[in-house]
Amino acid sequence: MHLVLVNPRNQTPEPELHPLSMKSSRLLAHLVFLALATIPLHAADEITFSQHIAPLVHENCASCHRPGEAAPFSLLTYEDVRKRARTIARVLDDRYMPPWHPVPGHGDFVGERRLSDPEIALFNRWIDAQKPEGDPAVTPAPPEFPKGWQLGTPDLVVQVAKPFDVPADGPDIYRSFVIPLDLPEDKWVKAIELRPAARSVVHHVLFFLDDSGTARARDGEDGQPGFRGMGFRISGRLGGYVPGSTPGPLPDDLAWPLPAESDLVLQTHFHPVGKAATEQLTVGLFFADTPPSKTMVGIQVPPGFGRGMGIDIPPGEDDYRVEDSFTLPVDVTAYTVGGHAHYVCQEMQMTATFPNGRVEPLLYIDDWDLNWQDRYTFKQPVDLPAGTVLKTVLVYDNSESNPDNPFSPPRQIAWGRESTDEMGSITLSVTAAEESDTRTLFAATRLQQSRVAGEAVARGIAALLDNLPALVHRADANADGRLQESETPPRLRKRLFENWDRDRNGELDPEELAALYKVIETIRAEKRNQDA
Amino acid sequence: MHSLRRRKCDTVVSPVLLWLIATTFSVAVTTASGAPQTPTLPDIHGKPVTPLACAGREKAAVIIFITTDCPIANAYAPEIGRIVKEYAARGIRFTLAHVDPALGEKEAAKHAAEYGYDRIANSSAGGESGSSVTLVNDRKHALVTAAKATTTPEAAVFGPDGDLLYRGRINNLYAALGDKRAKATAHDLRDALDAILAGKKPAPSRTDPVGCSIEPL
Repeated sequence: MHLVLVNPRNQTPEPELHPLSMKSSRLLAHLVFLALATIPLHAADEITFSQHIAPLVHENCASCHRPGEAAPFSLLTYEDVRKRARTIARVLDDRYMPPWHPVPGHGDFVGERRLSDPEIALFNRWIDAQKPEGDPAVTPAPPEFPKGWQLGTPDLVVQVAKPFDVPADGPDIYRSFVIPLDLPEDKWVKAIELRPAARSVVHHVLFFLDDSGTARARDGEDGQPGFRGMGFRISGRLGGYVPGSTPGPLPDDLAWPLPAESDLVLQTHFHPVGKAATEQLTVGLFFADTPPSKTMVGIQVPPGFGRGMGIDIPPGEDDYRVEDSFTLPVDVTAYTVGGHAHYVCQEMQMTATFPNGRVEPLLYIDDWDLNWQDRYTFKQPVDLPAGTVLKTVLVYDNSESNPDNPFSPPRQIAWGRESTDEMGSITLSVTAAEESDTRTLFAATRLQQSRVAGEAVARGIAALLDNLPALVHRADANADGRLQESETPPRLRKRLFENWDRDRNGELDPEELAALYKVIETIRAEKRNQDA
Repeated sequence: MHSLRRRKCDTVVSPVLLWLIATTFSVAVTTASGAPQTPTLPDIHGKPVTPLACAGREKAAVIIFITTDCPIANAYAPEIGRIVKEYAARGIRFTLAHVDPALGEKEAAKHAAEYGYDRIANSSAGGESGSSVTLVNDRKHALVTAAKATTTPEAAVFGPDGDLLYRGRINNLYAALGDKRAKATAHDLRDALDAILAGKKPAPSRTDPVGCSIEPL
């Protein structure tokens, strides 16, 4: 058996990455590896670094594992790979590397960083064969990447005003930095690229817009640049940065709107690496020359990152499910899909059920990891007709056996914005097939939001009605039949007194309580009727 | 030779002797009785040291295997520093062993400065016994072999008789590769040292380390 193997030296030189040629050479590489895996090798068909391993590593590892990038070491030369071969084999076997979380067969995405089983087997066989180098003369040159900005010269380069210190160890840090843009006019953003100063500590960054000034007001509130967490009003999004993902422009003529009054907010996830580091993020924005012909609409299922879904996970619960659906009112084309949840989320899945009953999987992640949240771009945009049902299923594991559980022993985890709270949703970015349908689509997403919010209010009121009289009785410490503000549990104080202390005397007297009970009873009766 | 026997733990032996030993035994050898002899190898400044030999009041010798580029080993640097500070003063001897045979002295010194190991390290003159750590280049894997270590970071604790009392993870901060807990809930190396200091046997005496695989020579 004689195998004709790819000798990259004999191919047309490719000084720059070109998606098409990469795709075809990758396909060829796949075929070769498939052949290698299924056909017994003769002694002459020795697996060598120069012929087999270098192309594999260059294509799948080098974009991060090269000097100046996020990965902890380079994987370019024979020596780079030889001295770490066991570690590489281990992370390949675990599928920890290359980092790629969508399960194959559920959505077909651009830039899939996933080795095939035959490729992994090939690497292991190279180790078993004592890692031969082969002929260095035929080792392909490491891929070349543009120096500096990967996408060319940005139209606007902005930087966080002050450096932020990341300590040597301790828990991961979620911090938002605000960059006032003060643009003279509205812009459309085609692409965005991040350049961290200390790449190894920056795990990921999500780009948000805030036109309310709340992020700006919070900046530096604790004496450090930026502010903790995510507490500001999101008025727009510009995608995100995750290690391993190459920044790319939006497909077709799509672009993100960037209204003039927007501040850019960088929600940043830092992870300490054993030595102190200082980060001052720089961002390059690439603008579209003309407004896009189609408006991108984000359909979030469930809306509001699951707020209002009643997410409240008991400690020890290892299979807590949240489901929500959205029916498309118009024909759409889907371009990207991405999920968000926190630590105890284990799985997330979105499917599209067509009006004819066919089910198309859009995204399935069976080992959700907050550290690798990404937005995935479909290789072929997915057309979804009106009447298609988008369904999200989220599974949470709040047991002790989940190492990602932020609490030991586990605690009740409810919806919230802190990273140790939970939330969850999957967002599908679409355009309406007819631009004139965009309004209808927006209206439907808003209706979905208010439906979920309304259900949450109803659930809250039903729970309140069941509990309130007993609670008032218990809370009425001085047993005078009146509820003083000081007697009221803090979590209810504001809600109760703002709405029901009508004479503003700091207590709910029997008349005010009776009025409250009556309204709740009315709502509850309505809900019973609805349910019936 | 005389000083080697009397003050095993922080002895400096002559470079000639080191050369002799290094060329004679490429790895730690085992005597007829089964107890490993104590390998001598260079510290990161090139001075020969004998990390496994304990003397005086020292109750155990800890070797922690590292490389300069394993992200998990590096992430442990602050915790390793804290453990050294707390336990060296209580009679535990610490050695950080670089397992990359190609590592140069300059790179090792640079890494020690970056990750704060230089601040807790013995000076090459031998330093102050009982309060610090020695960084060595285990180029011939004498210590890797003696401990049967597989991973960086991995800790091996030897008793005064050369018995391997504990080998495994420092703590359970990493449940698996890429699976880091908010904080460790089991502190295996500290527990092992506490047991030894209390005159007990560490339990468990072996745990599975999570990190980078040590490449065989």
